Amino acid sequence: MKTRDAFELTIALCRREGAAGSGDGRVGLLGRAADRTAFHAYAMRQGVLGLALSTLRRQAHPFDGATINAILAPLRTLSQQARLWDMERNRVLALLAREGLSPVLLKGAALRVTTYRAAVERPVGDLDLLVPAEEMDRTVERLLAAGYRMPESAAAIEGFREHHFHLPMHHPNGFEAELHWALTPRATTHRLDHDDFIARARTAEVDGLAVRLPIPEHMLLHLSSQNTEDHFSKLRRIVDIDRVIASGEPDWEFVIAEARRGGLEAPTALSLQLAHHLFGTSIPAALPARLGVGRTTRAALALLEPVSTLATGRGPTRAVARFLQEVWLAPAAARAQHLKRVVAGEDDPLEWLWRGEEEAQSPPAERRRGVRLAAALALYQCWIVLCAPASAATADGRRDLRIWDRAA
Amino acid sequence: MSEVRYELRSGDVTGKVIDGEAIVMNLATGAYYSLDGAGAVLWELLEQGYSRNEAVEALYERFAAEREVIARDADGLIAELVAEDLVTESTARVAPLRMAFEELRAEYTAPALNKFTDMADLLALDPPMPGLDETSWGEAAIAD
Repeated sequence: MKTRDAFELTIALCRREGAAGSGDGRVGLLGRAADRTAFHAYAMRQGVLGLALSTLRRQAHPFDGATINAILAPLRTLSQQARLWDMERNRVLALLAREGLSPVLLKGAALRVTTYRAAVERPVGDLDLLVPAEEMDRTVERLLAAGYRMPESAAAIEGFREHHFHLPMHHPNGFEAELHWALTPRATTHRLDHDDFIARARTAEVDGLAVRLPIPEHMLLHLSSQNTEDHFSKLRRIVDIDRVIASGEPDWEFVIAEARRGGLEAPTALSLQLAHHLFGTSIPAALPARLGVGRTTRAALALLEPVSTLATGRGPTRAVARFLQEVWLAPAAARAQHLKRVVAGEDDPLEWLWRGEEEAQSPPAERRRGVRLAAALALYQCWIVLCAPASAATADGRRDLRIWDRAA
Repeated sequence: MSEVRYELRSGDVTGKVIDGEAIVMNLATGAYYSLDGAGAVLWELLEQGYSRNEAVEALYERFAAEREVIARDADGLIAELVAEDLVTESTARVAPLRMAFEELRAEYTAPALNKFTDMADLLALDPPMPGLDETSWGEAAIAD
């Protein structure tokens, strides 16, 4: 199975029923064992296997019983996984509630109870909780009592507290929890107002528990912010955006105002435009202009091939392309400053931690990237501009270059 | 023993029944369990506070099998649940609200408690899949 076929089939199976273009002739490929396995792996990597297979289970299909059983086989495992996560969510929230603690559930754990039909349609890798500052210490204590552990290295804990926006805690049985005191890393060029997330959070009953959840508008902004963190590499987040919007018309004026206030204009515009382009998601007319995202920024982001890189599930393959994407996603006023930080190697103070250097017990000396990276960024920008005519000659290239179509 | 009721063991055990399958996890041991058919129904009954006798009567109403067979199988499963530290005898003596079944006298198969000890693997974003383990999720067999 080719990447393009896997991508198109995944897109078709992730569309809402009734959305334009739902259904795809490529579904017949799943009759072949090798293609089926490749598709399972691809959709798993994109984080949408449960959703895609749930769609297939509801649809009419051309397969015999044995084949459809083989196609749907991973659903059982994914369903068990989803139930374990839901039970742990309930256990943790109940423990916290008994202490009068009421964090706001974030990300996948919140999305699966607000915007999807079933938990199996939206995987989670950890339990993300936004905790009011005055409740953080008691929340940590309760999670420790519930069997969770802090990072082992004191330097790592200090690094998280000083430079990051959440503290990861790990349960020996495999559960992960992240206690957020903010929503964006300190070194990024945009901000989300975590106090406003908490203040506007709504309460819903989930499995008999009162659960606090962000309003849909905040979910959209948070998803856009997360897209910048993983360089627009996760199709799952674009599907999330489609579902959040489909679950109730957001207050677009609020979304636009908050995106502008937080310096999140370009990430929000690109996130929403990708959802519109791939899933027919309903978004406001002239959105980029209303967000203040100019033609140069739009062109630069289109040249970085957002659809093609999303199709790989890995984002831009070259490091220089990732840095360049960060620069163009930053607000115009902060771009030069961010470029300076990137070139100086100061864009991620916890890089040493992600590289597995906790054993060193302290951050290593600053890594300066210097003029070589600056030159590489400039050369790469020139290169993709020069390659634009050649890209426009291919179907994939045209798709990338037309990402902003119908935006005006 | 027959009027004994049960409760989940401490705060480490939780269970959830969806689509006729019960998943039970024990965070103290890192094991999780699956029960379906009559096993899932029995789990739900015990969790609701049914005594052993009340549960057997409810199962007899729900499934097409001899009462003695159901009683023997229920005793076996309850003994397993106790042995696995999932439930313990309860001091509660209040009769539960009666559960209403959508289907009565359904086909019966003896309940079985399936135990799994790979919880950390299952919780990964790319869990191992039975029959698909030869696949490397990170590098799928995709041709560019």
